[in-house]
Amino acid sequence: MVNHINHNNLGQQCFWVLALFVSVLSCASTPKEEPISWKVTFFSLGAKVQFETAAPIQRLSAFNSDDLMVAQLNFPVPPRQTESLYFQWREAETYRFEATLSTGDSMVQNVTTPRTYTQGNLEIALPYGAAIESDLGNASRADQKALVLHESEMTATVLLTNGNVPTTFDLELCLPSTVTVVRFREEWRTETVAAKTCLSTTGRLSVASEVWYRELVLKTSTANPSDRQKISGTVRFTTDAGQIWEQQATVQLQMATVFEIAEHLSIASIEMPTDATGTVDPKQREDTIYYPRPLFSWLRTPQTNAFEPTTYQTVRLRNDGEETIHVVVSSTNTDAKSGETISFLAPPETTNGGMNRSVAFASLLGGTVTEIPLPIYFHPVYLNQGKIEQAIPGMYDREITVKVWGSDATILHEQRPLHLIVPNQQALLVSLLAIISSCIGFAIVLRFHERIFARFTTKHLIVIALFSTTVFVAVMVPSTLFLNLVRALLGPVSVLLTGLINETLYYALLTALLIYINGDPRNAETTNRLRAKGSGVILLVSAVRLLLGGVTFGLFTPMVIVYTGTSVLLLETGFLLVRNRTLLAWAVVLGICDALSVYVDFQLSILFYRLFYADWYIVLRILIEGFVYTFIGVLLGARLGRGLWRVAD
Amino acid sequence: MKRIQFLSLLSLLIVLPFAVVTADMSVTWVRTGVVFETEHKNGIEGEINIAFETSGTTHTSAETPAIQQIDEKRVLFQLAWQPNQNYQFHLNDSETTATSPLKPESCLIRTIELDGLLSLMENLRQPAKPTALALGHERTPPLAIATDSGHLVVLQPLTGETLWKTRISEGYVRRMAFSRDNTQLYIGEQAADGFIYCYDLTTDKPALRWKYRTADDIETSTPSNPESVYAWVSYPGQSHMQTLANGDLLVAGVHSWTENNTPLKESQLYRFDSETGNVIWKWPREGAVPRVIRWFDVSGDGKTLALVMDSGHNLQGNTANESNEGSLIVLNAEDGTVKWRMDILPLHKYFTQVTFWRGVSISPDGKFINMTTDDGRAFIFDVNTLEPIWKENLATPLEVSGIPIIATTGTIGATDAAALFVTGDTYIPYHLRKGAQKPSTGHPNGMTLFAYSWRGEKIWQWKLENMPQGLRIDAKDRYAVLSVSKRAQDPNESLHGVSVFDLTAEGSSLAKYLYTYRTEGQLPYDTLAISEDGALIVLVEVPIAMSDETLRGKNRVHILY
Repeated sequence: MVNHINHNNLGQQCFWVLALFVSVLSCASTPKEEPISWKVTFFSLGAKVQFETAAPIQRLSAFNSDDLMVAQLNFPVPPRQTESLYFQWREAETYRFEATLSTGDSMVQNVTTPRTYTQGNLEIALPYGAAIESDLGNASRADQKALVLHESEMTATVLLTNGNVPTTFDLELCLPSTVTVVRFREEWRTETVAAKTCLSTTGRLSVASEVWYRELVLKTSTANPSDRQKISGTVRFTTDAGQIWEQQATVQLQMATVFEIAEHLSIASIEMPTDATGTVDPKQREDTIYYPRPLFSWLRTPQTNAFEPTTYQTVRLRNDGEETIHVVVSSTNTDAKSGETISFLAPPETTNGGMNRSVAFASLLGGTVTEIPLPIYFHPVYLNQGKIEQAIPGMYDREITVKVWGSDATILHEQRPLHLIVPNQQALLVSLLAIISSCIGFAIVLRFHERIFARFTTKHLIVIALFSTTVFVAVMVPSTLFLNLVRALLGPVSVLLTGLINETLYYALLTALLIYINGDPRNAETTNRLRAKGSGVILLVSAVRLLLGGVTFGLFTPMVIVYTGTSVLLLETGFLLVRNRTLLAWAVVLGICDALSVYVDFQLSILFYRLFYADWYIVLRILIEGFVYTFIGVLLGARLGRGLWRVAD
Repeated sequence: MKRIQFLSLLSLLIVLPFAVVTADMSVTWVRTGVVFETEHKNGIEGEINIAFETSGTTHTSAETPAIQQIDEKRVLFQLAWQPNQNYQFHLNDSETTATSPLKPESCLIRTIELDGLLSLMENLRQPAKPTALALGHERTPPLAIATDSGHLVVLQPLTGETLWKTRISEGYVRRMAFSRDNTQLYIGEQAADGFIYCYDLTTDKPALRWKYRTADDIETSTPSNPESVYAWVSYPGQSHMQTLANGDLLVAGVHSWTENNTPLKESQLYRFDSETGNVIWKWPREGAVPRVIRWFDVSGDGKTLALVMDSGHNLQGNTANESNEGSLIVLNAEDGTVKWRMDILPLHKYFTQVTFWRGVSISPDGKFINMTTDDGRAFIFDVNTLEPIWKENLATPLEVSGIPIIATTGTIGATDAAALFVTGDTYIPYHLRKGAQKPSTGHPNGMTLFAYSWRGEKIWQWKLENMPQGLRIDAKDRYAVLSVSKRAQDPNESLHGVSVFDLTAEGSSLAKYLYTYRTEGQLPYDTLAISEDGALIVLVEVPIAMSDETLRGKNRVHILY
């Protein structure tokens, strides 16, 4: 019973505590302050709300002093750094801004509008795009710095933005004595006051937020660097009701010569091809566009999207100075001889306003390196004076220029080659020839294999097999196992080391075997006694080598078969021609045959794997690895062969 | 214990009534009335009572507002409310008082996910995209959405109910339109045949009523790579499709392709009898014109039609036999005869040819035409006069360091009172650098909505916060909706949404601007609609790829007041 009463009491207590908890929860939706930093400033069309950090705000509302909602913004994603609430505000009135967070909490700020607000805005953009808007925060005066070049023409843009009501404006611009106006519209009046040239004009802005802009081409002359040069402007907006607002803007001119700017500015590198973000692809051939032109005219050129760049080049600009420099970087693809622009390497005409170059703007911060990727377009088929023409492969130039934004003077200029390459017809022909020869050779071997084997005694065949296995163990195994390591360590010159095994050792063993089977060409006795009735030693050695390589390392690819077939054909033919001649003739002819084999190997790689090699690398391998190492190998093998022959004898 | 009881009772008595009221009822002031959200379910229509207060006196609303049930919890009272006024809403035994704001708010009726509905992920390697959207006529218009893989769905936007779902073809659905009585749906495909289909929606299962193969007039072609994402561009399709008050259908068939490395174009304008599919007239009568009809617009009475055509966006100028000029042609829409034709010469130095985007519009009363060219020029014509009444270099090149700074100018509209021109972002030069800062290169007149009177006087203008993606005006010339969207270098700083303007509001642009409804993802061009009475707004959202390779937003349709 006591227990029962206690249970009842406990139940009652729980009920009332729960009720209190519900009450407290109900109160939880009331607004409370959160430590998210945000700032409200008024502008002519409402208020700008600036968030210092990414804020999880779902809704932003503005209420006037009568608690009437005047504007609201709902955010499905976190707001941008600065958001605008558009509403007509009254001067000296306090507005309540309420930000509702995703948690349901609210933040509130009460902000009072300015007592007097000067509407309208004046901007002297020198160059265009680099000015600071004076309207934000209703600054009545805006100062900016502009880098201008001595003895150079620059385009200044004067921009007026109207306030909320129709106005007429009176604008006056005053230029220092070192700046003259080269081109301007007739509507401007000019007068010279105290060595300053002043331009003035009037106009009407009939609607709210209307923008009026004019371009002025200015030219600077030499000035004393200590002189403070500035362009100042004043605009007076007069409303139809007679209210007047005045805005001023000043541009401090920082004079510099091309040389002075170029001293701080340099091109760190120009890389091509890269992607749109400036990342280099080391697998691609440098400064090259591959043009997959069909080998035969009846095959149609593949359709490409002419508005998509085929690749990019990335210019890295270093600014060693302290000031930010605004630049325009452009690249034009020209003919290496005539210097004329190449139509099929120019951006599409209708998308670039008739320019024949790729362009990018950049603000180079002091002490930084900025990457600027520029697109390169390629049109395999293009229109030239109304006629359809095909692109011509060859070597062209990329003219890269850097100008200070707003000026026509070139600060930096670089030239780089641009190779437009097509499928290698030589590689195709050589490869075709090699394939056909290998097939014919293979067919002959199949057809006459009994006759070939009949030329050799069993002893010879055993020795050939033994030598072939030795070649495999001494040449192929280390070569296959360590080739990649040596390549990684030595790069392209690794062939000088690997060639000693692949070529010198191989040909030494092969020559020894040939002398053993066919006899020493210097010793008539040996040749008369032991010479085999025909050729076929090289064929058998290569066949065993191929089979062992295939079984052990999986090196049984069509390319290896074609290469081996060609190599056998060349070496057997060469040997057939010189086997009665001196060892020197053997060395020369086998060297030439091996050099040809290396050349065929290159062409097969170029065709099947679409590989590109530097010319020096091809020459190095053909001459050194192909000829010289073989030549040495044959001479060394001769000594070994004679020794073997003596032992056998 | 007693203290706790007392405290709890006191708290419940004070707090709960407020909590119930605030949680149970909410009022959203939309353009066409008030959306009332309550926990009460169904049957509230007969019990609602609205009163408003003026000068301290409460008046009961004389007329009973029309009520539209949105869902179980929300109803729309169609009411022409006045700003800054106290309204009392009586519902059953509860009463809600609310003060109307200065401007209406947006109200999302629903979103409809499209991934499953339109089989967008059927091909994972190349997911389909919503490409065409059409909203019917009258007060409860049906909504049709289709994709580039031929899937199509017809919905009831207010309820979200799927009325019909099918796959029209393997082709790209380019254009769609409902007949004026919503009984027929016209579909234009961009595919090898370039068919125009007419489906009867009155039967239980919509049936094909007629179809027309435009490839018979404007030829067909085979892209060199049919698997390419750009392959559809080479097929015959439709640049525009519009229904007339009498039910007839106007279609511009366009085909632009390459044959033996020669760029070719064919265009033909048709007027179809909606019942039979018979061609009432074709323009040109003698056969397709070897140019591109970019866009056309027709007056409200269906008597006058204006079209713009050019020789296409060629890469390195035109072939020898092609014209560099762009043409504005005014037709009698009843018989397809040419009233007059105006050829626009290129804006030299930066442009060697004249091209258009959606650059022509005609006032509903059929008196005036406004037009823009891609080079930034804007024109106004009297429909009976060859010479322009007004022309303006709205966004023509501004040259800095020899670089032309231009803004796009292809989005325009017209009401009886004003010509609307929308300029876009600067497209020269390309913004390619990663991370680094750059000087601002926006054209001073870029990304702005301009309204000019038909005499050429500027009436108002409004600066947009992102690239325009389409402009629609309701049939009453009251509301204009403009979608803005483009992925910026920093996607967190780009705004995607639709801005709504009341064109009849007195005062400056600030008075006309109502609100911007924002979306998470991007808004593709031309996938925006407004109902004839201006009440419903429909827009399609697609996901946007963020820098961390996640997706923001979804493939979905937003239906809002």
